[in-house]
Amino acid sequence: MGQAMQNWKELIRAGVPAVLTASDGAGEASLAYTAELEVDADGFLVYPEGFESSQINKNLVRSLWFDRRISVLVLDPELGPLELRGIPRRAIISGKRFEQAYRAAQNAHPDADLSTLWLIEVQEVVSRSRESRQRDQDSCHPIVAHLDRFAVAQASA
Amino acid sequence: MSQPTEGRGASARKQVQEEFPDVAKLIILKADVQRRTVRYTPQALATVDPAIHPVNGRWIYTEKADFSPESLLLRDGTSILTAPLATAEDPYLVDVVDGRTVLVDHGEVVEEVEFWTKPDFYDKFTTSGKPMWHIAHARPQRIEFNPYSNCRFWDNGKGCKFCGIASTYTRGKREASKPLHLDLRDIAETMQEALKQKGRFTSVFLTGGSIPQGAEVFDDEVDLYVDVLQAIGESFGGRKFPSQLLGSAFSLKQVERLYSRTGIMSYTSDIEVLDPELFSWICPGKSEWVGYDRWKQRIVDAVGIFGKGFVTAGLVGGVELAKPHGFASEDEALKATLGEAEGLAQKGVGSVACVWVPYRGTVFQKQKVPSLRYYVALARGLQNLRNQYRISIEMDNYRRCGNHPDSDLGRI
Repeated sequence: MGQAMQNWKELIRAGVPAVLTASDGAGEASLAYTAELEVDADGFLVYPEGFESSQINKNLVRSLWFDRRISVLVLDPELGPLELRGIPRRAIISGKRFEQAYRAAQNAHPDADLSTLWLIEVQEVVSRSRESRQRDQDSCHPIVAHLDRFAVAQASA
Repeated sequence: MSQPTEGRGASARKQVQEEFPDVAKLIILKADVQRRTVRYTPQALATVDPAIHPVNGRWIYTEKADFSPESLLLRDGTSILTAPLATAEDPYLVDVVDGRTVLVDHGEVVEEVEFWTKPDFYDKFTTSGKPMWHIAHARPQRIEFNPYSNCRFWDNGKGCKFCGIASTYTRGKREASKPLHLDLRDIAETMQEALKQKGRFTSVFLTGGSIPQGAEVFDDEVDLYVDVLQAIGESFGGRKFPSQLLGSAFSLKQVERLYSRTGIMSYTSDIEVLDPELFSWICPGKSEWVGYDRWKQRIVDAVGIFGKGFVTAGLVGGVELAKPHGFASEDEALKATLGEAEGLAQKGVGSVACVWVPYRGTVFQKQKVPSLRYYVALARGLQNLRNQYRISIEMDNYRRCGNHPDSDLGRI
């Protein structure tokens, strides 16, 4: 996954869409689809959340407060789906950086609002491609596969 | 909850964190910083830039031109409303460590903080020649107007014992020619100017001292707020706009008048302390003119006009323990306060509490603040009540106010 750890920033900077997910206190996940992720100069993943009242916004607050991980799913054209796992470290709700992002949001959609610029520390990148998942299961859980996958080929009748 | 035996400083905070694992550490920290206040090191003060940070400030509790920071913001967007207090026994330090501005508690770097930023309008002037920072005060996302800088309950010395509005006005008038009233044109121009800064504000807030005079008690105060809100409303085409009025306990007729003639969206009245005997002692003017039960009922009645989730009762958290007549124990105080708060919640009123600090210029200036454990238990209790009775606190939350640890907890 060394390449993925390098690649994710380039993917985000290329503007690939992503799905962000964070859980509430009962463990129930909320999702947000976004094509507006950025990577800032300090290496944080930056997510602009437009809706103050959204469950995903509340869950991001909870994740920051209690050091809980969130996940962001992006699609690498070569490596397939990648899950970025990290913790929100800062919620920017005011100041010049916020206002700049607010204006950008309104330039994209005149009716847009901006609640929070979330700065997320990406700690781990995990491949979610079919091949990677198969490899992981075969090596770590060899006993769970169907028997016929282990059988020798039989001659045709 | 037993009597406070918490240690000092960092050990107290950590004890409380362990006792309340469901309360965010950042909010526990906020409550502690507010009760202990801060002291800025010379290194921290050297980072203050008057071009970026508000170093002058005028509102009903502050007349400030000392070039210290206005206040603090934590990394989750939580505001900490605080200021140095000369008599503070154990303040947090705000210092610079490794290039970052931080809170330090007995030598331990606790959290990074940033100073509030100055809104653009602070550097502008009204057409009458007044600096706009004299007309409105800014928090990170809120603009505040104080149309009346004094409180008439002090006319016969019966103002609230924790409140510094009268002493602040007296000193401001003497040292900086602070006016009693704001001019409506100045208000309208300042609001218009403030709105040019896109994304800077989410709410307009109005408050001032009580004016019990009028044909009906508080009529003069209501008249003033109607005029001010209409002046502000010019910027919004007369429609409703995100706003909060913190005023006296207005009658139903007065609340209807305010709501129907202006763009105001939410209303708070400070009942200060949820106990009738303590209310009489601590707020003799409020008690004399209205009384505890009627003050409470008027807040409840306002729900019928503004709607559930748009009316709150404000408390000075901790003042219920003031000596000599306050509750004898924190257990007792918490039980009584939350009991009364539940009665209000059953009728659609959320209660919000600030962290009481015995500032200079108040009758209670020599009192001691309750423990951190008390404030955290109170904050959690008040938010739990709102959750139980499904009362939103958006009108008075981290962004539209920032002074209540309990409403901070409402973010999740």
